[in-house]
Amino acid sequence: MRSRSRLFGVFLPGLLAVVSIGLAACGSSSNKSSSSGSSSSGGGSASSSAVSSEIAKFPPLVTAPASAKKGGDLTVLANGDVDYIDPGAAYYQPTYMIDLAVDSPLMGWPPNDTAAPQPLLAASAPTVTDGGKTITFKIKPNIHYSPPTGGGPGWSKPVVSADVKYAIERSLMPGVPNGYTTLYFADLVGLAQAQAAVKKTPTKAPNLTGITTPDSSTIVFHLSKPSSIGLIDALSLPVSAPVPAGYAAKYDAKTPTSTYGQHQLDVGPYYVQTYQAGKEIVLARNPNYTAGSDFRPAYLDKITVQEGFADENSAVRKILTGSGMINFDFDATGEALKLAAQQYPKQLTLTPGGGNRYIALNVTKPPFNNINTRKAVIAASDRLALLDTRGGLLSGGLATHFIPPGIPGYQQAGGAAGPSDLDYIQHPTGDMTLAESYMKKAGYSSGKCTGNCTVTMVSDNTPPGSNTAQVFKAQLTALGFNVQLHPVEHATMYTKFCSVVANEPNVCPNVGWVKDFNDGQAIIDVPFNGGTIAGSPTNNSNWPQLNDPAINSALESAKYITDPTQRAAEYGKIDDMIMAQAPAVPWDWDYETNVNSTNVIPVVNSFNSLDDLAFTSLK
Amino acid sequence: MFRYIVRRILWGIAMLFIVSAVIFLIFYILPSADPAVLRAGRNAGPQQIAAIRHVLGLDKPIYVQYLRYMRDVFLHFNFGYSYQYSVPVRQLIFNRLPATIWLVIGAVIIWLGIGISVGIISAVRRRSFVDRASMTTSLAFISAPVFWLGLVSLYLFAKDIGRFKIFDGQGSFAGASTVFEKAGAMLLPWLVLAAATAAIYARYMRASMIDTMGEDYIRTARAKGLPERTVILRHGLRSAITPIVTLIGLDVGTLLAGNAILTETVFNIPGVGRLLYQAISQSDLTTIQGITLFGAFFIVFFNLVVDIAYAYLDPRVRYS
Repeated sequence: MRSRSRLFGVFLPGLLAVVSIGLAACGSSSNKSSSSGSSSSGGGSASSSAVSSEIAKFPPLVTAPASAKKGGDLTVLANGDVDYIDPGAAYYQPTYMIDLAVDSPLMGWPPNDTAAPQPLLAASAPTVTDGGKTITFKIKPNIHYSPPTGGGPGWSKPVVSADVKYAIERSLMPGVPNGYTTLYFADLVGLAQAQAAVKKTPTKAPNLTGITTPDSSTIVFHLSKPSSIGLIDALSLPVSAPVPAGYAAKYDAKTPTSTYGQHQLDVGPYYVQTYQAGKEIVLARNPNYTAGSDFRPAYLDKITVQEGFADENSAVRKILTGSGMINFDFDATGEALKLAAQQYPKQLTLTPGGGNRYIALNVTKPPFNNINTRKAVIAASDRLALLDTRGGLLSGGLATHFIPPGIPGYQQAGGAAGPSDLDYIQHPTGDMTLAESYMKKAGYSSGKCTGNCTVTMVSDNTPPGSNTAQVFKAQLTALGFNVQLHPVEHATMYTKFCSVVANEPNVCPNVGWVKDFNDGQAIIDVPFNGGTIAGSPTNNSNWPQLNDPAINSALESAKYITDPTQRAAEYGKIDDMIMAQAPAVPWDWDYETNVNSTNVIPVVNSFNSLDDLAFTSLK
Repeated sequence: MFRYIVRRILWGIAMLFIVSAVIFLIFYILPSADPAVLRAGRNAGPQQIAAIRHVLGLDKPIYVQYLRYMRDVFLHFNFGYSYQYSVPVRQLIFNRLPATIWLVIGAVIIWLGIGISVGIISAVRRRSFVDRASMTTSLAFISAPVFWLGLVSLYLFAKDIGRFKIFDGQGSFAGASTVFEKAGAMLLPWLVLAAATAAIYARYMRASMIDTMGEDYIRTARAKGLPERTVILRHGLRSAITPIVTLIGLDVGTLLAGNAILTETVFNIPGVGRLLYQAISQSDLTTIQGITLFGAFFIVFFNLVVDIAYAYLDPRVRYS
């Protein structure tokens, strides 16, 4: 998954500040800090149970109640838009809210499923042969496409396996800017040739020879290495939702971008009836969908995503006090979260978001090329104070390593307590004595940095990221560092500094990673695999630039483990190995904080931790 | 007069060329983020980024990009494709313009009505209680930022989240279908947007009116026995209003160009301003550049309109 959303813009801080004033004027508390974390951030330590207890108070429903009934219209309030309405390019968790309701990839995730994806367009679980290098799917018969988005003539033929093949092939086109195909389909036979072909002819989907369709209901994936688990997981992403070439090719041929998304065909219980970019998305029942053909009950009649609610406080209040509404791409944070937790607790759910936030320390440059200096920084870090910059313990769990709760490998990596053998991660509010001992080991005899102690830091220029940077700057200063902080726009931070290998500063305080699916590979491979750095000089996501041969090798091997238990254990072990190198300060395992109107029965899908529109209903 | 208008139009076009060049410099040569990387996403490899760069034409020499950009803008009125929405920027802007026009027209009517009336009354009743009260109130509204006023008004008066449920709340304009519903949804935004501007206009109007009412020809009009109402409205107002005309030309131009960004964002009105906000927050450079250029056009156009209007409003002004 792409790293953290940039959908909160430059004016939001001002709006937030003003809302605080507005709320205070209306008689609410204006205390910005919303959790127990704020009270404990001044010193001492907090137990793991204390810092992880908040989430238990606001559990989500992950199955629809037996009393759920059909009918009604739901309004989903959004700040921004989907990243791409085209399922071939969609790569943003809130966009998946739409995709889960309208698309049918080969595999899918029922809301309560965190173990492995279930067949969706596929008729049954795939057959894996050839030692994990050949995966064969049969697709369901008599699945028909919806009317196209925006109206017009559609596509009356039923879904065939070639439509799935074309859907994946088109995702290699520059006009369908998919962010993960080349990552998760890397072992697919013929991928390099297909990439070369699309370079020559960018307006035509290339032939992927590693995908064959012996008949209209069979699709076979041929891999050069036995990475079947990762591939099957990736086939639960929207890229494998069928797209008929005969219909879509004319839209895909447009430059500079395919316009298929605005004319798309869906096969789920709903379809995108209208899409007005940045304004509104309307999902209506798909008249060509056969009820019961998959696990989605589809209670609602119509779903309208209404965009432009830039001020989350008033939007959350509108949802809590209104009727038939839920949130889309914004969390309830700060004052809004406090309001929901205190006054509307039954309308708030906290769900582990399957992501982490950490402060990357560039291990290639002094002073953080010294492992003891890095350990000192982690030991000194008041991670509860960092967490407070996002709303405290209601907004996320205190991270002690990188694999977050809910992802296989989390427990094996130490669970909430973290790796017990690493003393520098044991103190949620920091331990200066321990930090100074590591500084001494790093060669700073006084326990604090002396001499050339300048470190550069590039951060977001808007809250909460800018606040996180300020807090961390103070923590580094306490260790004697002279921090040169450069706040810039979020996109600039990545594309000019933190993701550009040659330009990366000493510290990138606003980075993190969200799973693509429930697997350790999806959370720690890209951000810590040193093998990817050289190949991505301007789009590097290994922000600490950690390039440890043992970790790289372990990550490469883990991809090919097919036994789930062994796989989880291995990723947990790799997480420990990464933590032992101290490349970053993990401080947040995000929660998704979702709110709903009182007459809505929201069901959260564990896959993306957001409300599942195909399972949510009205009272 | 005709030659003057032609000359001003030519100057306007030249100005748009200059603005276009500056915009190109900012967004193509010195972009704050790499558009190809933004579009490709976090996991994209170098090949994919290169392919996107090629399709967007960003791998061409700068002068080729510039010529292509100018050709598209001036010959085809094409501002490019939005990286974020994958639709033409022109389509996005035209799609959003009606809501902005709704907002601007209503607000202009309110602020002109209030601003001019208050300004005249304050001027003719100078140093009275009414004058002092209205000028103090206007100062308060000028000092209140639009986004603050907007949010406070929502928390006080919006039907959805307000204490006193009087006006339609956030996002109601998007759901309104009839003219009456749209007007109802716009009432609070109109009042908020008009508040500060009306206050400014009132102060300008007052100052201009005080100057004008001291002129000899006003004294002459009074000496001729004309009713005071006629003196004020026919002789005083016509002359005193010229600075207001200048202001309104600029204000309407900038508001249509997206300067209602805060009002539209706070009230969730799907206009050009909110589009600009979304584009900024998502680093959608082509959309920002399109709106900027579009805004420059409006400002140049309304400046021209103001200059021509001067000739009709003020007999002392004649162009040759």
